[in-house]
Amino acid sequence: MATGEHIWNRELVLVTGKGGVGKTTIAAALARAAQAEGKRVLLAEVTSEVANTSPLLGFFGQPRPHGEAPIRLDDNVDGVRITPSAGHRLFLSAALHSGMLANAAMRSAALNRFLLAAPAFPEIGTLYMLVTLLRERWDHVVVDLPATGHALGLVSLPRTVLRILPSSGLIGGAIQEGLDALTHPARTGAVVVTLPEALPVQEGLELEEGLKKLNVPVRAMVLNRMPKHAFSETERAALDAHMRGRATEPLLGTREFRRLERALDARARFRAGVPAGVNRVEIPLCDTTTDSQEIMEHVGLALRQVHLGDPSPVEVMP
Amino acid sequence: MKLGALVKSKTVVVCCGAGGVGKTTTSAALALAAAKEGRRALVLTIDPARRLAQALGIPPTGKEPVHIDAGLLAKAGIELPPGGELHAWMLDPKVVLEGVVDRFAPTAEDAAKIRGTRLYQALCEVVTGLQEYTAAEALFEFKERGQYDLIILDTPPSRNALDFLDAPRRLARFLDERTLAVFAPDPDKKPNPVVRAAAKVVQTALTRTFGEGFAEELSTFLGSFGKLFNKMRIHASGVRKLLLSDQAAFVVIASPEEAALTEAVFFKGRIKDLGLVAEGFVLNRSYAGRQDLEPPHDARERLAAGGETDAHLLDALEKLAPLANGEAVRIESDRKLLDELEREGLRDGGHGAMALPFLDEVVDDLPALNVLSEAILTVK
Repeated sequence: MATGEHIWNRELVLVTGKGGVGKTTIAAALARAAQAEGKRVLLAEVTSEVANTSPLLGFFGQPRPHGEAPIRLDDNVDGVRITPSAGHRLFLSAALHSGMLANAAMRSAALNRFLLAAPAFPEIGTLYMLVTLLRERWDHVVVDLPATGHALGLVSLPRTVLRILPSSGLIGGAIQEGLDALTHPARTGAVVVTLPEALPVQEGLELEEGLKKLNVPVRAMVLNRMPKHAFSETERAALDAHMRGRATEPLLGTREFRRLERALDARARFRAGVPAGVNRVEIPLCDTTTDSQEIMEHVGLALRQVHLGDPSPVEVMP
Repeated sequence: MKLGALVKSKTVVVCCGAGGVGKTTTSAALALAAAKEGRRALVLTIDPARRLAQALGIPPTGKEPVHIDAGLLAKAGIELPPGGELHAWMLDPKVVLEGVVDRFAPTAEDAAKIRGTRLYQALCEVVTGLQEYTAAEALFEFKERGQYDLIILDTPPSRNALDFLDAPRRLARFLDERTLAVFAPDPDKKPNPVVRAAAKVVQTALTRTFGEGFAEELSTFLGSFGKLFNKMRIHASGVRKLLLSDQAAFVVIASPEEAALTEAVFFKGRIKDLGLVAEGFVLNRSYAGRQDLEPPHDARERLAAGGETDAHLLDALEKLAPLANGEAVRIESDRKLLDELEREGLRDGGHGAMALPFLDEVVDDLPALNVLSEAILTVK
């Protein structure tokens, strides 16, 4: 990997990780950072039709976006929600062109019920929509993927689908195109987000392995919300002994201290576990504000400073 | 809301909520609490990250639930009263699907025929989407067996929806005979013109989008699944009836984050949309319960006045101040959040909220689950 590149320097940037790790904030911040570098960005949220709010697009002032087409969020930044049924409508109108047949098919209750009920068909809709978006005009498409299991499900889907569907068909062709894009190291880079706690780090590392097995290039792993501290080793040990030995009520700050100790352990595991060739990015916990919008802007500024391929782990200070 | 009362009285408790709030550990702690009350409890989890298996020390995949061994529990300092049992199962969609085919196919030959189709084999590999169907099916199956007094269902991660409830409903709608007739016409019956016209539209749409031959293959597959569908439909409505009854309770898990309230209320609304009632909210990893803690500054002065000479400790106590401030802020904001959840939780026939404490350790083993289960049983 060339030194000095930005994290988002791929056509397709997949942001993934388990629920609650701050994926959405990182995805929005990557888009913000790329925008600041003069790039045209599409911010895409993989979601379902029943969701009526969009946390991702909410960072850009559109918490309740309407319609299925991309909308303008800011200069050079567009946003879109990728849903199964929007994808279904896209492929039905592409396959049937227009006219009576397309109308009849899209109005067919039986067909719609099938497409939403049959396992994998909702995901085929999602993938189809992603593929059509990739054919368009943005420098970067930043995708906020759903929680861990579903993300792997989504990227493993193409191979399964291609075994059932002839690649001569419209969908087969599009799925092949999607698979090519997802596995192309020059076009795609996944960013795995995790937190400085034991299980999230382990799951993050497993997710990285899972993606690699599916030939999805992983560009960076982000350790989000790493607490800052000023203790020396000796001070930590003295404090630990004091906390254990207290006869009276606990000390205020004990829980945060224990959390910090666990975070330090988890960070050590993260640093040791991230394989060579995948960049480590550590984002400190923002302790000046709890406002999620402000935090996203801070992280966006910080991510602009990150240049991949540096020999030492990248630490950014929002 | 009293979780302790729920695990003593209900036969099904469904835990839902956004990703990362701790549904899996809460589910396991609820099952353990029920077992400690002398009930035979099963926790069913669909967590693809396999966390529960680690916590309980069980193999991550298996054909049957694992009965957590008394020796393993004893090692963690847990002793169950007579009748109390803890079982756990990591739901494997493939295993559930195979079970469905075996049980519902009229003959072994039919089952083999279904397994032989390419679509079935592909279906087995599609984990996504299948989880949601199999969760409902597994719940029904284990309920029918009658081996458990309480089943705790941990729902799959999904950002904004209750897919595991929506999925069976979607399936039931698709399996509706009229809809199915469009996809797989019964060769012995003469279809009416409306169905024939709809079938033509669907066939053309499928052929043009998915390629030559797909419509036929699908039709064969659905035809061979035919008789199974009827039973699956009965099960889907059985699950619904069960969840609608007062034997079942839905709890929405939330963790203290900025969006917690919005997300919890959203889930409650989704449950209501499905015609069900959310029992209440659980604020997980809460700081709300802590009080009367000594600030580090006071501790430092007290120790210094008492002749403490360890400079490292005194310095460390000084450096603890920002962490203590952060903790104080969190205690305050968690209390406020809990009040709001309580208020929201009382709407529409719900029973408010309760908090589960943030532990000083990672909840990834039995001793930690035990602490949580104590909190569940003792919170008044």
